[in-house]
Amino acid sequence: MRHRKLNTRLSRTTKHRKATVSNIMRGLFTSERVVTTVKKAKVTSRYADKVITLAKQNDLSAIRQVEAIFQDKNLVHKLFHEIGPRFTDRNGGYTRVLRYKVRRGDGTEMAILELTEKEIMSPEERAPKTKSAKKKTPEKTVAESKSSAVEQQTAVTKPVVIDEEQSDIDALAQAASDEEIESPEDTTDEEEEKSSE
Amino acid sequence: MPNPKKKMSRTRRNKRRTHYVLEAPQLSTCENCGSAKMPHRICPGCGFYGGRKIVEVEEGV
Ligand SMILES: [Zn+2]
Repeated sequence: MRHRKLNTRLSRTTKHRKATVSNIMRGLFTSERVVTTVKKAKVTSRYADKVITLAKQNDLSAIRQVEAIFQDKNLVHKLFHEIGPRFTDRNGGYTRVLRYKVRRGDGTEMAILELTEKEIMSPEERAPKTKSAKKKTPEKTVAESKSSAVEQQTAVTKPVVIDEEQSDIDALAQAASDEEIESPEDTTDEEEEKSSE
Repeated sequence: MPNPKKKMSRTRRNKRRTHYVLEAPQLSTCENCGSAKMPHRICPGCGFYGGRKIVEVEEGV
């Protein structure tokens, strides 16, 4: 019996709920990671796992079942040729829900819904510069590409600090920009004091 | 219509309100940067969760 399997209605009718879930899933499979409310993320996670299970089967029946959800042949192709094969060594648990932050307008808790197996680790949901930089270097491991992306970002924002050879990224993060602005003023004050003495 | 028989005294009202207390959130420390954060959530300070960097955190925002 599949009685009482629906754990939430998401304040929607059946059609609206199906559309919402498939829209979020489409975003998830196109961009590997999506930010929604925790509730929507958890509901979508269940359906996304089922879609990936179909994508792993890779027969005509499975293709038609997935095409019933997404009216997008390119996305279905990506599912069966990229995303499905990625999960061959994993039995279930294809998606992950991480509690992220609180939405400003209504205080709703937001979550990141992402695929557990990723070819390219995107540090932020919208970071086109770092994404393009990573796509150029796919042979690097995930950890290396992450650290290089962090270094690139710090280089763009703060070129001054790089000269001091601070290896610790946390130290870089704590060095706020206003402190950097203050530091040259302090040095000039000291120089003036020395000259006055 | 039923109504209160007596006016409630200030003392009685205030005694009832001694239990109206806001609870502070349970906080845990981030394994990466050591700052206080809500448990089971991505650290708002450094963007780490489960020993892994999840998101970049913009500075000075
Ligand atoms: Zn942290």
